[in-house]
Amino acid sequence: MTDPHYDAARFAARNRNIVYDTVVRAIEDRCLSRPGLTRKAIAENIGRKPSQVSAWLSGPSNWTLDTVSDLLRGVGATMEYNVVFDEQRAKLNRFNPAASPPRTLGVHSLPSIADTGSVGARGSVTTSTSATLTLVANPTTASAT
Amino acid sequence: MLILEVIDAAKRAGVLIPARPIAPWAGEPRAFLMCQPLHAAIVTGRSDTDPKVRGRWAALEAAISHFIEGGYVTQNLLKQLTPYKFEHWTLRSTRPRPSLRVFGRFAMPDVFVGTHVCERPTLGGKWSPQYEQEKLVCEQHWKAAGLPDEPPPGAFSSESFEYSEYITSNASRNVQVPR
Repeated sequence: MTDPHYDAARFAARNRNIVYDTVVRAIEDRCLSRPGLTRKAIAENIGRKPSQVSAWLSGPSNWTLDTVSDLLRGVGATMEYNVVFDEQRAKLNRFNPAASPPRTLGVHSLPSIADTGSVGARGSVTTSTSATLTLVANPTTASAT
Repeated sequence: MLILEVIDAAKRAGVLIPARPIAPWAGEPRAFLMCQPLHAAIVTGRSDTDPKVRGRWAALEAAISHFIEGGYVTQNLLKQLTPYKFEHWTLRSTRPRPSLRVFGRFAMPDVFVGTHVCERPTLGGKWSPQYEQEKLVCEQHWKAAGLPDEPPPGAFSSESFEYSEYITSNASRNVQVPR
């Protein structure tokens, strides 16, 4: 059984991680292409202390939309937003063999977080089927079987 | 025995449990395998009556999912503890408080085995007896899962290490923004 509040909290944290990924990678790229761009320079551009910028770069846990705005402003950029509905997303087909279900068990007997109710979204979609397909498609796994 | 076969046997026996991504559309370029104590802690935390506590564990699951889904990883998320030769790592989930540390090791590149989880305040400072004790507990859970005592020969060096030896893509030991 899933807890909607718990699932919402996990999705919120996931989204924060993704935004952090996107922003930090963009800042890293910008710093590579512009050698003078440092944490200190970013901080000066937005009237903050370098230590604050370092704290932001260390992780997304305290990030707000204002954090994103400040950091991007500091490197001369802005975020563009798109909304994509879940059902319109293509499912990624990249799987690590070690994450696959045990080979001698059917996918429905896979003991996972999903079975205990935490991954409601995954459990409600065609999830494990894709993992099974990967067992066949992945060359590493295929050679092991 | 190949490490993948060892992992497969452990999954069959139920002593290693693959964590799954939060989003149904996400791929799993990396694997995060949970030993029973970690899995049990998450299940317990998830069903806590206090919404703040549940939120805390939700953030931990999101951090695990971030790793699985191939998100950008630095040692702010996944850090190898010193001395490196013992191959102790922690996954750090710092907010909301209390900060959590998942102990574990890499079974092979991109495959992390999380053994158990501790609240950071209970660990004391670096080199504290509690911290050192949890490293040993990590090793015990690792062995209980049937995993080899040592990492695959030649896979990792013991004195220093390259982050890319463990996480092969979209990872950097430190955020690459100069000071």
